[in-house]
Amino acid sequence: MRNRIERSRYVQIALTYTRPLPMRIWAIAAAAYVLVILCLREMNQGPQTAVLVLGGAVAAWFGAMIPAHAKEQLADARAVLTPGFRGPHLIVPAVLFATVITALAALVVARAHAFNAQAASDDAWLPGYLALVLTMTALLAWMGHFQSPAAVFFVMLSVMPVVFAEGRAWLVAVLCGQAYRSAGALLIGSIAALAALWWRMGQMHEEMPEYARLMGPGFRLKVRMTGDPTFRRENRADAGPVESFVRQADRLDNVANVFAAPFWRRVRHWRLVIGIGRMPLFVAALLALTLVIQMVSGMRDTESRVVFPVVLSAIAPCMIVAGIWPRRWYVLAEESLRPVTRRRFILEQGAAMALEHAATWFYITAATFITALLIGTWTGPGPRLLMAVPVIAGGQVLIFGLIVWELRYRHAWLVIVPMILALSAAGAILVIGGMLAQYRHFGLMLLAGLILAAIGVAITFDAYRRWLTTEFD
Amino acid sequence: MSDAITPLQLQGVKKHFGVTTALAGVDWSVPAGSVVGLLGQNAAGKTTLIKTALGLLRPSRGEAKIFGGPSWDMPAATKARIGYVPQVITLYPWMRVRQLINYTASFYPTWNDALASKLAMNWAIPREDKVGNLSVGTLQKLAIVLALGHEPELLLLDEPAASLDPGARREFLRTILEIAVDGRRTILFSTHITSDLERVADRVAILREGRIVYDGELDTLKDSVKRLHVTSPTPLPANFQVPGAVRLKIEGNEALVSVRDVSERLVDDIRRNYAATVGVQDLNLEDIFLELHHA
Repeated sequence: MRNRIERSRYVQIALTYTRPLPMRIWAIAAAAYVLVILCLREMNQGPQTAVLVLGGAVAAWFGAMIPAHAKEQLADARAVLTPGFRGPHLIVPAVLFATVITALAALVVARAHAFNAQAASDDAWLPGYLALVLTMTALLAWMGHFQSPAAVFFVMLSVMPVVFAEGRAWLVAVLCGQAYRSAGALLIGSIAALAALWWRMGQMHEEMPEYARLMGPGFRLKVRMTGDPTFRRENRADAGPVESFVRQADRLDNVANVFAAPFWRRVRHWRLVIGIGRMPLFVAALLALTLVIQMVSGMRDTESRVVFPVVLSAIAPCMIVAGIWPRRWYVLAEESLRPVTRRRFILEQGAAMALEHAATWFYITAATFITALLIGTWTGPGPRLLMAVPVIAGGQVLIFGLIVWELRYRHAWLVIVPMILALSAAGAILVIGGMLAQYRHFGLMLLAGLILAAIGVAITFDAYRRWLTTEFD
Repeated sequence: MSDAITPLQLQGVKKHFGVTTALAGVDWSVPAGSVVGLLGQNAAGKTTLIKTALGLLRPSRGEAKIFGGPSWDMPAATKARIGYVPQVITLYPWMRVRQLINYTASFYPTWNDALASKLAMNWAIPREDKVGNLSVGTLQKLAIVLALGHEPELLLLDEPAASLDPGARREFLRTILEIAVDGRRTILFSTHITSDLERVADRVAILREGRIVYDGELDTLKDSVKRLHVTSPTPLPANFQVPGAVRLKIEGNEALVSVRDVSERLVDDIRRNYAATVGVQDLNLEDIFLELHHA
């Protein structure tokens, strides 16, 4: 009888993994992917590599969601107060994780061999592939666990080697079993990292910094009641000295009255709360330092000196602002009741956000471009870097428009969607920029930048019109 | 000048959220200088009514007005005359209390630093603490300080005392009375604590299923709703009816009837028609609320 209850308990826990919407979306995506690779018989090299990459992404997505869901259950008073709660809630995700990841990786590698194309993936080696997938999964899982800008930044840095030819060659060597030691190290390292994550989840208590950082309330962007325990814990996490320092809270010690102040004076005032203070500067400095380290450690070709700063300039600013602005929803109702008309309020908020985005882009671009120029020579990356500026700048206007357009929707995916939109736009801009750069014509790049900016302005204007009718409940 | 204009007015206001109707046609106005208590069961639509009145929500039908102008697009000067304490308080967690007070003050043309400081001191709100570390009660006190600092002419409070301890609640009610005493300010507050309302409100409005079912003076309400104890020498008939009854319970020779708009004549009629003795019992606001909701 007791065994049956225990079994049923494990089944019940396993069933909770079928309920979250992201998990269901994953299940559909994974099923579609498996169906496709089972149906495919022959394939060229490009699509074959894509199958491997996609398979890895599907596995890593699942691998990151499993511990995130487990954490939702364990970062709760029940985990401490209910006898025997933690064990089953740690075992079930571990079993699910190991089963699905291993099975998926084995299936992908088996199918890659079955395609019989003349490609590197013909030699895909299961332990190598598993090592790469687990490494990616461990990084994403820890990022999801901490949900802090530092963790996001660390993951971004970790995947940066794939941008460069040397990095990609090393990945292929790991995948094909030509770099046994690297594969072994990655395998051991990632398993150790995941074991450490499980151990940490087993210790969850309120004093841990990540305890409050759960997926649920963050996605809702709406607090149901004053004192909502999750929101309070989240607030406590944001009340630390680092947050105050980064946000430059000391600027609020003496603030001038802005009731009758001119438009731009009020916009600067809003930046006190819309902005993230010193963070763009820190990120810019950190990226510049990373660039120095990477270039000093062997990445001396002109291609790398161009690609790395351009990618960072296009992507990093929008990732920062798109990740932070959705939280404005928590205070928007009360802020909208400040003595200012609705129209002016929306204009001031938008202008403050635009300034913040522009400043973030400027700091990151200046830091990475100048570093690249200083390390290289003017005749090396200089002209190509400068040529990229109009496209990236115009692209930022487009990305800004997309973000403020989408931010009106206060829904479960609000935090993710602007990031995906911004990343997709940044990716498209990089591709356009890369294609146009082959012509080495500054006028062409300028025109492309202006077109992107014009589209961005049009989207921003449409967003403004829609925001005028948005409820701030 | 401003006193002549109705501070808050709703005309045929309906509000739907998908298929759910939160406000089902509210025609209501709050007279200038009054302290109005808004009562209603959970999900009656109190918060929606307040948010619609403030222009945070847009009416599906009808119009909400504040100081004679549409709530949805209030001028800056009108907003400067309004104070609001929301039901759910979400402030900037990374700010210190004094920084948040400074920040809030910076938006208003008039800010009474002395009043804000006095309230903060009376309620023992630690000015150097981070907002994110405050307890629920202290957070609520801080929200009230922020709403009162600019001495608004119209103050809307959505269950403001829900998380306050008895001392803080008494202090809050005293402050409300102090603010309201000159008759220049209008206060609307929703609450479930009817004893608070009885202490400070001069008017009461009862919201039920998205409609205002009572709006009037508190004393009038208390005078008009009574409980009648009817005792007859013979069993009362099954079709025993009393005009204006909101609740009727018959047990043999006795009946308990809660009646709205009770009058001497009504009592005499019952006595005469059923040869009964009729005792008239006064009700407090909580009883009246429960009777009106058939609880």
